[in-house]
Amino acid sequence: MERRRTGAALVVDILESEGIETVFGYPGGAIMPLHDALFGHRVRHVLVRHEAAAAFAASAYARTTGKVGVCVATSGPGATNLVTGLADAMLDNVPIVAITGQVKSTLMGTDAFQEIDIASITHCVTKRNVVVRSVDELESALQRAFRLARGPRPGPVLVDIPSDVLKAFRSEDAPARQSFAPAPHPRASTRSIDRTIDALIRARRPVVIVGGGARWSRATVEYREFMALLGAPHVATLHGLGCAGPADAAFLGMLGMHGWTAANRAVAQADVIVALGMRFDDRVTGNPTTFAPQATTIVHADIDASEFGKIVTPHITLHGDLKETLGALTAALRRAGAPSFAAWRTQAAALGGPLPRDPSPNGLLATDALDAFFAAVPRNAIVATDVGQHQMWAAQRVRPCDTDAFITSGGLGTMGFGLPAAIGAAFAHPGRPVFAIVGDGGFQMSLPELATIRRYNLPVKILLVDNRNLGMVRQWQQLFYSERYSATSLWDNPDFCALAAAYGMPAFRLSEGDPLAIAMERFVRAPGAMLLHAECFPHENVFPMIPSGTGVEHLIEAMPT
Amino acid sequence: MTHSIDTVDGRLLARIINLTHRFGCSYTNLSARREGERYAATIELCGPADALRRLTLQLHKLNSDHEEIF
Repeated sequence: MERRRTGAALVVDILESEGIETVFGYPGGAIMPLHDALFGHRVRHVLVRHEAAAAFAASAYARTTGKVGVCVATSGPGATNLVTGLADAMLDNVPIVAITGQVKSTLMGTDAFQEIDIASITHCVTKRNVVVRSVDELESALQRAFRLARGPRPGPVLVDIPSDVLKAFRSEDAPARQSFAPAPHPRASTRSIDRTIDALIRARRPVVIVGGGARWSRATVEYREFMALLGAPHVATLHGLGCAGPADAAFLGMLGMHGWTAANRAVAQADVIVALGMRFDDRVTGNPTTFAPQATTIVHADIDASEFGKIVTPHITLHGDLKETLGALTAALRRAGAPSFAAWRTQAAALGGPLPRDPSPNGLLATDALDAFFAAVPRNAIVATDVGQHQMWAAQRVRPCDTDAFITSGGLGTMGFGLPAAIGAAFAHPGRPVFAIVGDGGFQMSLPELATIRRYNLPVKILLVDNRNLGMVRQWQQLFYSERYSATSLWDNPDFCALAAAYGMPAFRLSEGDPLAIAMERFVRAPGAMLLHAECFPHENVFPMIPSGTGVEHLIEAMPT
Repeated sequence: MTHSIDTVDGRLLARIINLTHRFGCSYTNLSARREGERYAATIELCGPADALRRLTLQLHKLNSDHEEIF
């Protein structure tokens, strides 16, 4: 290797050595040296049309590969445009390294052009951030950033680099590059494993809840093995979807505010809860004081000890990597002999019926469109959603083949996530069909990324669920704000098919009366990118629903009359 | 409650103070000194017991993340 390397060249060296093949970014003054170093390099730079999309695309890249996603932006507005994406990654535990340019060191603190203290701004939306003051510290800072982003609990890390550091040459006597072993992770104690198995063997109505921790632990195989042996009913949080096999009859569906009735009622009746890699989010627990009221034993498995007792106090904690924890649980259960929960499984499945359907629509139901979509979509597809009603309808219906096949913004609930996320997934998995399900609100927050799809000829297909409303907010206004529909009507939406055409994307409309199955087959089988604009009944609501802060006893199965 | 910090990154104190207020707690005393490359600090925290318990969990996490990178 050439001895005299600039800071920018060192950044690219580190990206390569960390196994990064693709970065998502947007150029600008302070970051120009890095873009120059990336010019023609093996590490591919994907030009998005807004920095927020770079963070979301990097997030999806990470969510679907388990690798670290990288986004790049310049100082000032470039960096601040990343903030929402970093916050999104923070709440969903996504390993991202954000590299931002900074004004040159001598200008820092002078309110220079495009100067902002991005390190202070991102303090609470990153695991850590660092301002690199010397080119000789650059390699070490980046290596540590990647290591920290990966875990034990993944998350975003920001590395802010002044432009003079990017341009400077590494000193002749700078320390040689170190190698950093992966961060050590804790291991659940044998005693806790044995106590958990003992509780399960004594249980009459156990329920297992799986969350996003299984995704980051790559524990799908171990989870399915454990559940097959245990034979208990199980449910998933939004980010746990895909852990259960698509045909697993013991799986009761998504839990929480818009989860399946049987899933919520089974948890309410459970005497033992085993919570795996989930954090008892308020959208899952509602009112934590009445959550799982009959449970005499709650087991909580997590890589992050700060989750224990944060919302729900567990009786047994399994502090460790979920893949290992599940392996140990399976081995211990096999030794102890698995009990039979067949009767409870049947009883739990009967606690709720099918998803409700609006009985009197005046137009195409979004739920009918989504039912047809999921009936047609290939098994190996990756589906990214935006945020809102369509997200919950999709989460209720999707049966992904694995945790990488359904990606969504769960913790932060970031509108505008879906389309750039689909782009990130398409770069990560060039051979797999990728779909974005978006609402008309979120789609309009990410429209510029149609240009990214066009530039890179990405086969991203967009199912636009257009109800001419910010539907989820409208639903709450209808139910809880006396039907005062403040600022939620999108009556003046643009012609979305014409917009797609302007970006060279084929598009067609789907309206009431159109043959749904045929339209969806056409959509999912079409080569390349496509927009399907589903013009939907504007007043359909998401049910079941447990109102915020309440329990399953307040579950609403259909619109009150 | 006393929380002790030993760090090379003095900015960690700002994060801890912000987090303290986020949890509805406050601090009654803060002392910090720099020794070579490191900062040694102690912060006296007060607030509702449950908030302090949850804050403590987050501070432990913050410290462990911090140790990973520096």
